[in-house]
Amino acid sequence: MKFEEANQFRNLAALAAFLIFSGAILYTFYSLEVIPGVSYIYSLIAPNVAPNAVGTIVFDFRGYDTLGETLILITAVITVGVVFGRGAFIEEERAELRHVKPTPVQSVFGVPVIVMLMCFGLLLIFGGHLTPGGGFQGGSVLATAFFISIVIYGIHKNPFHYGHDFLIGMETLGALLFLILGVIGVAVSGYYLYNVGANIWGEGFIGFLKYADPTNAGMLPYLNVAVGLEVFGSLSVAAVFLAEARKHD
Amino acid sequence: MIDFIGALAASFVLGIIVGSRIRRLPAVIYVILLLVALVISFMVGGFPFYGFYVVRGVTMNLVFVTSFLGLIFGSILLGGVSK
Repeated sequence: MKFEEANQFRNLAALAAFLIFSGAILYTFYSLEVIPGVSYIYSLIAPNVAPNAVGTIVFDFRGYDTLGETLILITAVITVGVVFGRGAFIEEERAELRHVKPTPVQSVFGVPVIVMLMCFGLLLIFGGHLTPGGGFQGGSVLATAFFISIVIYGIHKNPFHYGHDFLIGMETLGALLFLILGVIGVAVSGYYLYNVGANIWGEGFIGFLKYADPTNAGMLPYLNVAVGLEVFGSLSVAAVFLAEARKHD
Repeated sequence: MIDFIGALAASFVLGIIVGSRIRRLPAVIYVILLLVALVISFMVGGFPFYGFYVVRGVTMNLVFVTSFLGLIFGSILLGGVSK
């Protein structure tokens, strides 16, 4: 497929996504019914949605706000990409980054520490609706593990070879998952980012998504996963841009 | 009794996705990593409600272990050969 054709398909897909998500959000605003004192009510019922009331407030009560916060990350990464990214390089300057050999201590403990940090990051993501933690913190820990690998092994000989495309894919997947979960809320209840599984307001026919699990908080865990992927992708791709920019030194 | 099957499955899948960009390591490293992961999973314990009581007083964190297994599976299956 030629570049122009691929670009056309990409533009069409972007247009379709824009129409779907903007339509869903506008429909929600149109049908929005403000209940006086909803903040007080939510403070009372939040622990019934998930053990971690903060997670319920962040993802359930203030889902829009969290969506905006995650999109700020994308904006930040675009800015970093414009300043330090591929566009800033001249082809002749794409020399191999001077490789710093890891010390024996780094060689021995590098991989175990990084892998264990990644496991802990994933655990934090999946515990976001239960305890303090969640997508932001878990994604940051995952990205920190990748930063450590860059410090030890550099960019090109790194066994953790997360490239631009993969990391941007992670970022996009996270944002898309968040938006799609919001659209599912519209499809089921008429409200964007409605917590489908928990269904605290009894909207629509969505009882079937409840399952016998004390850790079930509706779609909060999946929103955490989306945010975690996005934070991991955003911070890591910024780190890659900055690390490669050292080539100019 | 394990009542968080969804978290176990999701952590395994996410582990595979993240681990798909870890280059294949020597087999002995995987064995060492598994032992380290088991020790740390006992130290992490029941945080956050994902504990599995092995024996009285000893709790293992299953989501930590499934995340690790996902990372390793992703690395072995999709990670590619080390440079």
